[in-house]
Amino acid sequence: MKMVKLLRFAAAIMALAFVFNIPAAAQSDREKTDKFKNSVQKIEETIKNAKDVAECKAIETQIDKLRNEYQADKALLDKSLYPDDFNSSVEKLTTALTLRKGDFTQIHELRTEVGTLKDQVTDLNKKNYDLIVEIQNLNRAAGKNKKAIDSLRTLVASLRASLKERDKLVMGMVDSLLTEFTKDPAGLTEAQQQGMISGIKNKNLFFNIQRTINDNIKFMEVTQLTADDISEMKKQQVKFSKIWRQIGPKLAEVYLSKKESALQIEQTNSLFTSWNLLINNQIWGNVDKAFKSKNVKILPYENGTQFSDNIKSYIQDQIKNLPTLGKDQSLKEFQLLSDSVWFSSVKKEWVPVLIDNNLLTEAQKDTIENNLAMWKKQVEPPFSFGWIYFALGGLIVVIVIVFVVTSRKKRTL
Amino acid sequence: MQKYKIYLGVLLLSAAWGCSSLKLTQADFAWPVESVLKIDAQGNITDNRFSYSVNVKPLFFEETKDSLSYNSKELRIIRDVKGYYYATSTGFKNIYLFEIKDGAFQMYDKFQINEQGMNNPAMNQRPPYIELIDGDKKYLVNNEGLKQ
Repeated sequence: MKMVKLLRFAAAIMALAFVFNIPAAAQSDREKTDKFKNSVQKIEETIKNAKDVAECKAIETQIDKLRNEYQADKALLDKSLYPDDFNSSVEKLTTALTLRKGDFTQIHELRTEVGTLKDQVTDLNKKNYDLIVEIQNLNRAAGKNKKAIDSLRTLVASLRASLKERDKLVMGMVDSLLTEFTKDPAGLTEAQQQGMISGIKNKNLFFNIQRTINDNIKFMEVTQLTADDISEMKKQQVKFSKIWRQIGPKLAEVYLSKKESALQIEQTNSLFTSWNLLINNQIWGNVDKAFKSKNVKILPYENGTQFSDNIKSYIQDQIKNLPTLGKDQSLKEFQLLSDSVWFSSVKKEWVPVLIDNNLLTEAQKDTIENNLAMWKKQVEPPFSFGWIYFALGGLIVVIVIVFVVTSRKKRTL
Repeated sequence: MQKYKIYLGVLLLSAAWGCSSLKLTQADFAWPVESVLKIDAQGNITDNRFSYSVNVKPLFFEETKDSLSYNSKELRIIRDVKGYYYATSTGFKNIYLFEIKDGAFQMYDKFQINEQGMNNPAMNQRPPYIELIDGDKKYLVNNEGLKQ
């Protein structure tokens, strides 16, 4: 027993001697400084790549550990970290971590909000689908009676309101994504990009955007829209399309490596183009209807330039044909185009929509009206205003003469 | 008259002596840590923190007698409280002391540390000395020589 104790004691002594005989490798101040700088840099990276609040808490512990580990070298680091110092370096990390935590709180709030929005949008998608089917059925029903027409009107109004509400929600979703996308996608870390992708998935973003556009297109197809309705829809389309144009390229960059999603972005782009074209066609179609309803035959047009050119050439043809048609007939034609179509319908209802949406310019509108004025001159020559002035002038002269003569007579008397 | 000339001469001399002996003391030129600088293909080093650059080819030639020995090497350099610069590098047997003279690093002295050349030298500021460490060996040095 004693022997064992002795051996243990000797081993311990030897171990201690071994430890004290080996000199610890000296560390250079530069090495310490570089190590500290590297640790700070690593923590900064970890903060950037943190995925949730739990990771942030772990980083907080790392910062505390760093502070304690290097506290003994504070004097050295204060000098060598110029222009920073030990405290400011640690402080920077703490601030970056606080900001990152703030991001997560904001993202959490947005996610909760989006979750609620998603449910609402799903309900509205279903409601809109049912309404569109009902309208289509009523439209197909032959010999609509008053009751059916009233019911159709109510359905259309209900669908319009419901679409508007859903569009607003979807636009809100895209808008919230824009706020998350404050950074250039190239500057986002892999983790941030992944977070973005899962956010988009969670919101059913592509589905909802495409559904919104498709429903609006269907709505246009199954209903007769007034100028105000179309104007409203065009505004909606322009606003939505503008937001998409801001976010689309950024999404494309995030999804660069994901072919399926890249395809969805392309499809959404082309849907926006179709929606825009369809609205423009609806506007021009309605303008055309106004001309056709009065049997005014203007050559087909698809844009403002063609529209203004074709009306101009129609008027010039009419002026050219004036001797053949005769003044009376030409006057009738003029009144039909000018009074019944242009001033009473097209200019009042559709020209503001066309100009607001850059489909027609003020100059093109003026060209049409100048040509109408020119035609008017030909068919209604400057009427007898000259005679009225002449008669008025004569009357004034007579009054003056009578006045002069009477006053002279008074003086003679 | 002769007396006045002497007084005037003495006065001028003392004024001139006064100007030339102007000295600002309590100076501290010490760098907190050494700079470890990469040598470029032309043999130049640039220290952005302390804003200077210099060609160190002659130093490497002095140490190794090889005009290309500076290739892909680093130079460790530190300045002490008095303003002397200490330079060394991996494989060097010596530590070199420099002072600034007429726009150049002028060698003030050099001290041999290891005949076989140092494996991993590093320098720390330990006023009034510079501590040179190479693995587990430590040396204190100043412009007067090695202290340990």
